[in-house]
Amino acid sequence: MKAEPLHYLTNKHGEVRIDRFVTVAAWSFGALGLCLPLSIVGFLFARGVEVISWEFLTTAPGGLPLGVAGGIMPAIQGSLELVGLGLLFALPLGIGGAIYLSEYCTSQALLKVTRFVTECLAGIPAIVYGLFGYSFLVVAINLKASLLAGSITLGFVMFPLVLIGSHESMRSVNWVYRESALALGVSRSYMVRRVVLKQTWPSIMAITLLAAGHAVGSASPVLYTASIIYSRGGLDLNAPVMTLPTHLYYLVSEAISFEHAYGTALVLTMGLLLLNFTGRYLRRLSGKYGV
Amino acid sequence: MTPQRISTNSTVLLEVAGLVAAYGSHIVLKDIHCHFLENTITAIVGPSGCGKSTFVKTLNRTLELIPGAEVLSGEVYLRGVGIYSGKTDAMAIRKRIGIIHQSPLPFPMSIVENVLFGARFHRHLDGMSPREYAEVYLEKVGLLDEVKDRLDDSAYKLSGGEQQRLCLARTLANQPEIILMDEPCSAIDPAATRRIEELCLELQEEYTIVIVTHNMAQARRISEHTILMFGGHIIEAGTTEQIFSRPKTELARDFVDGVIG
Repeated sequence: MKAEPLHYLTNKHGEVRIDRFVTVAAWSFGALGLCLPLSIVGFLFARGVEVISWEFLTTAPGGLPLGVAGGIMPAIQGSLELVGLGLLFALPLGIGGAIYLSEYCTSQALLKVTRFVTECLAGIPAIVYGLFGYSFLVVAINLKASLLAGSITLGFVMFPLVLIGSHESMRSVNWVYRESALALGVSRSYMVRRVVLKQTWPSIMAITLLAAGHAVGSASPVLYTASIIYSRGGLDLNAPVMTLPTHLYYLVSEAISFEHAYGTALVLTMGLLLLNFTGRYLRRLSGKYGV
Repeated sequence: MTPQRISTNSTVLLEVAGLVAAYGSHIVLKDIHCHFLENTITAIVGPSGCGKSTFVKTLNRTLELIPGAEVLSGEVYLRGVGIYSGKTDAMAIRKRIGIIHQSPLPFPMSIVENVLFGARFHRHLDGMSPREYAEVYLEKVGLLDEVKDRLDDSAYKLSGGEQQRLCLARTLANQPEIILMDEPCSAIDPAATRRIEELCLELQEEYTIVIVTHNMAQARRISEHTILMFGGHIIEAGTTEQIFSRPKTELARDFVDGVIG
């Protein structure tokens, strides 16, 4: 039998070469995309891990200038307090708004306008929220730079994210579930509680954690509304607090201690990673009953 | 064993007078008049798009749950009380008149919680343990033996036919008088269909049943009365025996003979 020439089983025309190029490019960009965040975390880890100790996590900053020694406990505490209290504002407003839009609102115009405005709010730079918090909360209604003013400001930062995310996840619940439930003669609020929220709460919690992560890492909303260079911790609504991002900003901008700055950044980043992983885990939960 | 049909009780339970319903500007039901007898199975048959599903949903005020759909005029009387009169509460009506939809749709919760969904809201459980209460209705639909060891499992683990019986149990747990069924067998297999039909015949001792079907043979097998719809009108109504053996109109004869539909 006569052998066919090799090109019989190979392709060398333009499309094939383009395909190879695209494949290589896709893998390269993919690898780059993966390397970038990993290298940032790796870099922070390499630089910051030495500072991290039980003492660093549990004591207040010390030394002269302030921050060269001691730890960041009040900053961790302050950040958690700000976000926790901020959620007290953002969650009821965000989830309540989403429930209204998805379950009660009958006007398409109102729905569209509200969504549009909320989406704009979500896109506003954090510093604008900071300025608003400062001029309105701190100055106009005289809350002073305090935990209260800062947490309300962070509440404003988180609110649109929570509303949009919750609304999207409620919208994704098939309408026939609502029809079936209401056909059993139950009230709308019972149906929302037991059918819609039952299916969506894990993803609403996940969205909340992502919003909280976004808020906890932002320095600008709290810079003029809540933060202070040194505090000893504690929970006082009327007193300013230390926060992780503003402490980091202070350590770096005043060139106080890059070592401690890296440590602070690492703690912040690890906290954010933890939040995001928890969020992902919760999102998986929503499929528990196989919907 | 085929359960025997029960002889007609002549009390009119539900009466429909001059009902007109529409989706937006599209009129689907055009001046419907008819009645349903207590403890009787009435089949509503007709070709696709004739308005039979819409009609059955007007009987318990679930049509208005569909955006854009509304009853424009006419009235439905349950034991002489107008359900659209404005003095009655849609939730109470839906409790008295339950509905089973085409595709079984359990909620994302356990089997037992599915059964209790409406009953908990309507406070039917007083004194009884939730599980015992649910078991009564699972037994009623012949599902208890199949699921008694996995009552806390997700309802989605059941087969299609089992899910449809679960939905029936969920409706029965509301303690309704009337059960509307909107093509309850269109999404399940023949064996499961047979099971549902047997259940209908058993349940008519206690309930009044209205079943929408496009399956003429099914209407013949289980119903005592038949309403034949075409293009948003009722073209003939009477005993199933009469409609199938001596249809009065030509349209009905064509439909029964399978010329149309």
